[in-house]
Amino acid sequence: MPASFEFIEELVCDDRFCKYVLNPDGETVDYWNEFRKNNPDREEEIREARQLVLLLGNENDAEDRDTLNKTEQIWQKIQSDIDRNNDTNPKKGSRNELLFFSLKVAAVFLVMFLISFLVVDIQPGVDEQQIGKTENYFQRVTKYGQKASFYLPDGSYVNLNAGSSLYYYVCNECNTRELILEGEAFFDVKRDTEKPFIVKTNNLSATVLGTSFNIKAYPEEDKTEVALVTGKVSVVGEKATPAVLTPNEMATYQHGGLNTTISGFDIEEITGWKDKILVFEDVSFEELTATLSRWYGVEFIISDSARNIQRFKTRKDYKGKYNNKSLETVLEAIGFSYDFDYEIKDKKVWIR
Amino acid sequence: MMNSSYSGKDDLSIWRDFISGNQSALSFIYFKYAKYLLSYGYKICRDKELVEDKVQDLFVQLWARHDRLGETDSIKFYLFRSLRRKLAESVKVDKLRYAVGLEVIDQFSGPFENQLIEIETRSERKKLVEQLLAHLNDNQRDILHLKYTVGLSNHEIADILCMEHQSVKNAVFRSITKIRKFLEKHQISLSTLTKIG
Repeated sequence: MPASFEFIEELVCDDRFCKYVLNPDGETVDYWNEFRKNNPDREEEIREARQLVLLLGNENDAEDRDTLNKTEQIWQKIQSDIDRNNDTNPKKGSRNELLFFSLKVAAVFLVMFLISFLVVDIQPGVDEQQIGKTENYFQRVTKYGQKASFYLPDGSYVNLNAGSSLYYYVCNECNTRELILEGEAFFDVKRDTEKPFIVKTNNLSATVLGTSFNIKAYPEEDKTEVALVTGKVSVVGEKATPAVLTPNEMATYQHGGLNTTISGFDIEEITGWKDKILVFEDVSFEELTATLSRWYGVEFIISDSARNIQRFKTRKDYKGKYNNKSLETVLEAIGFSYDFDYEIKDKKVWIR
Repeated sequence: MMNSSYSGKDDLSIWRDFISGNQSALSFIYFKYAKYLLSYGYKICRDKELVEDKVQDLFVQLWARHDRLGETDSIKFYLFRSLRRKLAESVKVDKLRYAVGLEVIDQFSGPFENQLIEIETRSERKKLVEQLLAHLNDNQRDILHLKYTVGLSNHEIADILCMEHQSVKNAVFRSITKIRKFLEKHQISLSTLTKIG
């Protein structure tokens, strides 16, 4: 770095100096610390150069709400393009077929767009004021037999289990990051102490700053579970006093109850689903079939004679672990334990 | 296996994950850079919809070709260069000019003249930067954006803008001299400016 009256310009122009100010790594910091130690008379100029870089680097519209909204909208389009490319090879289609296909896609989008308004409007347990403007809301929905994982705009990572929906919104000026969950999801939350990350379900809300946790809130179940893996989370059930969890603790809120029960949990049992491991630990036959129908996207049809058998009604001790196994394999094992025969036909499981 | 997050990983390993077909790497790359690509695109091209279409194309094609892509240790550079090329294919190159809103310049020819002003808020600072940029030409603004807002190196900028490396450096040099003169003339102190959150 030659000494000159234009030293500030030299610095502001220098790649390594910009990196030092904007996006430093160990090597850059070492270099400039050494430089400053050897050139104490340059401190004033270094300070001014640094401020210039910060001033020019600070201003951009990338975090504006409009830009973030657009980012989200374009992502939905990219995903549908990718899904379409996976299904069909566009090069094979004639122009007409492509046009027809585009129209179909457009129609599907229109329907989805209209439905999204309906869904947000009728979303139970959440009032309009709480969630702010609906127009900035986005949703991710998984069908039975389908899971999804994706990043949220704030950099948090979500695994969404089968038969679940997650609503979130893009709002840079808001003081919180709020989401609405129906079903089950595992969150790896990007730390931002200024903006708490709040997951609302029908019956409770969980607030965190930066952590990873699992939340299970299927509407057909009579309880909601929040299991904390790392960090800290506070849980408020609709009628219960708030509870704060520390790692490896799980809160179970029985809907309508006044208490939240805190217990330990088995990490694989609770979060195994995101790694395709299906774990049952002391579950009833009812819970078993509910989980299986979500996981594999099937419907269970249980004959009356089977339904009346005592062991189906009273047993609550089924244990099992299946690592990425087919429905047949799982049913063989469960059928052996409960002593039943089954038949799979058209996404339906008949139990006799 | 608990943490599927890419934050904190370097570009090279995220990119490798991506070219091996990991869709969450694509999603991470998208959400990290798309907003910067859009805000840059809007600045250099007046047709907003075109910018949005090109960003969409860029990522769809990136995914379609992921198994044929080479390695890169600067995803950012790769994306900005691709976007600029895509835009240049659709409009005449000389139409890609880094614009500053005209109303901003008109609005602020007054207050900054010959008086010591206090810049205390974010929006005031934003207006000041716009005013500073208004004193530069399109090319200088373009370079400063890529250099400080995006964080690219002089060599990368030269490649993207099809310029000589030395010309990029000269342009930065001249811009900074102009900006410093402006600040000095209006007695604007940088130390208070950069403290605003």
